[in-house]
Amino acid sequence: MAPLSNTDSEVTGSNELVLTRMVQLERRLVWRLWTESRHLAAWWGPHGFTNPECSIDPTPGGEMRILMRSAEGAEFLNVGTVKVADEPQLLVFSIALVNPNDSVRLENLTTVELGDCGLATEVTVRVRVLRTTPEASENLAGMGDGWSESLDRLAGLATDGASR
Amino acid sequence: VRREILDRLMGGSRSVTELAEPFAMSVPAVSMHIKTLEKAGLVARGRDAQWRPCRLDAAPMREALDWLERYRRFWVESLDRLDAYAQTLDIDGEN
Repeated sequence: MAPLSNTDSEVTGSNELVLTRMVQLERRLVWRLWTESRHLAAWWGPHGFTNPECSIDPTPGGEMRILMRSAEGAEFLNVGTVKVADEPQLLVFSIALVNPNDSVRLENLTTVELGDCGLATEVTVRVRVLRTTPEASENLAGMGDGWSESLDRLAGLATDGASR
Repeated sequence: VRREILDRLMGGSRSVTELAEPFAMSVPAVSMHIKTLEKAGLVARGRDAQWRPCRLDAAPMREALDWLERYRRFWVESLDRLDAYAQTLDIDGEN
């Protein structure tokens, strides 16, 4: 289902999705690929997507706005706010993604750490869901640790075989 | 405790008494946990007044997993593209 990738992913006990990836470019340049609109537009989103509109203001409180377009022409608007911009190592932003049938609005906090590896950079992305539909938020709030652990376990089953 | 209750319900419907068995807790205490799970929409109770079996309602979990899976794919593929893009820049000598 998922194409082979050099990205490792896991879900932690606190329902945080963590992905790590080595990028063959030095850190100060990778920082620019994340924080300059024209570069961000070149890679943001799954395979086949383009970003006809893309802007990021990499300062605390700065706005992000990315209009994604799928290969089939479906458009999804991502709107977010930069929380932390500590060049060239840490970028934190909240961003809301709208799903294909518009029924679920997902807001997440994304933390991007860039680790200096000389000519390469280790990129670590942590995603934590902040807000989903009201019903879903209630479910998450009501469950506490039990929810988190069960989800973790189920998520582990779901991602086995997909990560490597 | 709640996680274990969910684990046991994965094996099929159980009564509250059955669910309370492995825990060093009273049936009312376990009932409280089941109520929490019920409120969270993860466990459904049967209508039978005598027995009221508990069963797992997996829909909210599936939904949550769908979100995680969606994010996972989003970022796995985005980071692939980031690396591919980074390498074109490297080749072009752009900085």
